[in-house]
Amino acid sequence: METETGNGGHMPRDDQPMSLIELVYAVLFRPVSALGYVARARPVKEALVVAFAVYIFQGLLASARLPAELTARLPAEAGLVPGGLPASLGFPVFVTSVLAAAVGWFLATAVFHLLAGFMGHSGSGTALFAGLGFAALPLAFGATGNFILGSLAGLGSLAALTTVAGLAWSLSLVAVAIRETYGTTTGRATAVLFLPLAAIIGIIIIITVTMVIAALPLVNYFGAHSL
Amino acid sequence: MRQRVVVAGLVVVLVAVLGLAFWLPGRGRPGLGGGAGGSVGIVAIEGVISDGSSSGGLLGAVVGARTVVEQLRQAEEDGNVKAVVLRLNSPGGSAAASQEIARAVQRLREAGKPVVASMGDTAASGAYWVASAADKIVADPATITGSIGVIIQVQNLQELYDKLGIDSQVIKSGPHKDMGSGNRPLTSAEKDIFQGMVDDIYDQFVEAVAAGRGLSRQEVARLADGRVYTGRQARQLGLVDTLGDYREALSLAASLAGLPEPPAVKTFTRPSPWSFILSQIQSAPYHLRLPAFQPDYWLLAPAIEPAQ
Repeated sequence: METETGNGGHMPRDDQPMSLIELVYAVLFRPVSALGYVARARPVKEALVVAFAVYIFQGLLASARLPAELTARLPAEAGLVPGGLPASLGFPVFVTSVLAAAVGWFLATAVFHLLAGFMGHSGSGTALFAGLGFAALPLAFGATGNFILGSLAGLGSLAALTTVAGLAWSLSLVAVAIRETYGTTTGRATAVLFLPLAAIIGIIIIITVTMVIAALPLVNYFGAHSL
Repeated sequence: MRQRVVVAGLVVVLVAVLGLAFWLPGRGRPGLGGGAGGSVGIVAIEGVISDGSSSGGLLGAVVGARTVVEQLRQAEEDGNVKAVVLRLNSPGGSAAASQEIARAVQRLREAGKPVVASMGDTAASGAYWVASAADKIVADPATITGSIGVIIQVQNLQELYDKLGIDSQVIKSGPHKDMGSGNRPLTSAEKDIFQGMVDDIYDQFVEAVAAGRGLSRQEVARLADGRVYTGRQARQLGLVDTLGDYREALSLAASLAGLPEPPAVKTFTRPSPWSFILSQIQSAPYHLRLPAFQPDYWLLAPAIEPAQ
């Protein structure tokens, strides 16, 4: 019955179709079997609904909080704008946030699919796309925890931890989605997941070092010729 | 059934969080956009004063006179704004741009709206010119201000060009058409011309400060040798009215306009997210900022190295 290495090729006959609510519940409480089903059934429409619901939620939360947070962080204007930055500032933040998340979803699918191919695995890009969509679900909880703890006095420093926890949960779901899509091991799926991150970190280090080296003559020049 | 309840519960929690998120930031922010009984307008002048539009850049913020004048005009025409606080954090800039902003401040006062200048880190030279047009000046004790004077700097790059083998050919309609060119040193006649310009702008500067501060021309000229003063020194010399921070400037503006405390505030200068990001880079030490962006006629405080 299986014609591909991974589970993304065909849907086994014993898989019962799952509704959106069943899928959401299963991804939260039975992620391995849920993402295995997603890899086989490729419920792209449901994935789109879940992922965009999460992105829109994150975008709205960011747009609601950013003007006040930005005001607090502005070094000179903090005392200058007691009324805070206008709430309308949140709209471009919302649009940018949702678009960036959606583009990131497509790009991550493409990069992971390509890397999995390089590592000798085969599977369905559509299945991976759906899996990554569902894997975004914990990000909503991370953002929620961040907001609640960030709003409580004295717990601000813990707020970032909830975002990290949400991200870690989401990444673990991504790893499961990759594993189930390509029928590979958890170790190889994790390698597919983290290789792009390692590459990005390496590129950032190279760019930073290059910029510092390029800027050194400027620093020396203006250090000697200050106004 | 259990699945539906759990998922519905999660959706309800997330929607409630969203509602809270939009509700919370608005609380406890009196006066955003102005109160019904009148408000104090805020116009910020932060960065080097220049002509044109304001912009935030990697090399430092530029305060465009056109932008500031437009903001002052909006404050003048806004019936709800009863007074204006000018928040200054600028080493100065171009003479004409400073004059334009100072004139717009005078128009505000002529419209019956008191103007209070609030000095931050630095409000020197061209920024002091602007401040002197206000009804009152409030400075922090450690504010760097003063620097009443004019400077024109011309670089003679002739030796550098010679080393590089660059031979500049100049065809000009008159003997002074290329005065100030970096290709050659200034002639004594050109130095006299530049000195005449500096002296004339300096006279205008001193007259503006004398008129704005209610001092005699001689008194201002005695203080106007180009040096900078601290806020406290400037207070003792009559260049500043009160020592205090931004909040005290706000209160002073409110009391001048007969507004209740704390006053509602309407901000006319709003930094963009992009300028916020760049402002993080602009926090670099002063000596990283490029002098090549200086205008020709410079009303600037001397560079102040940050504390080590």
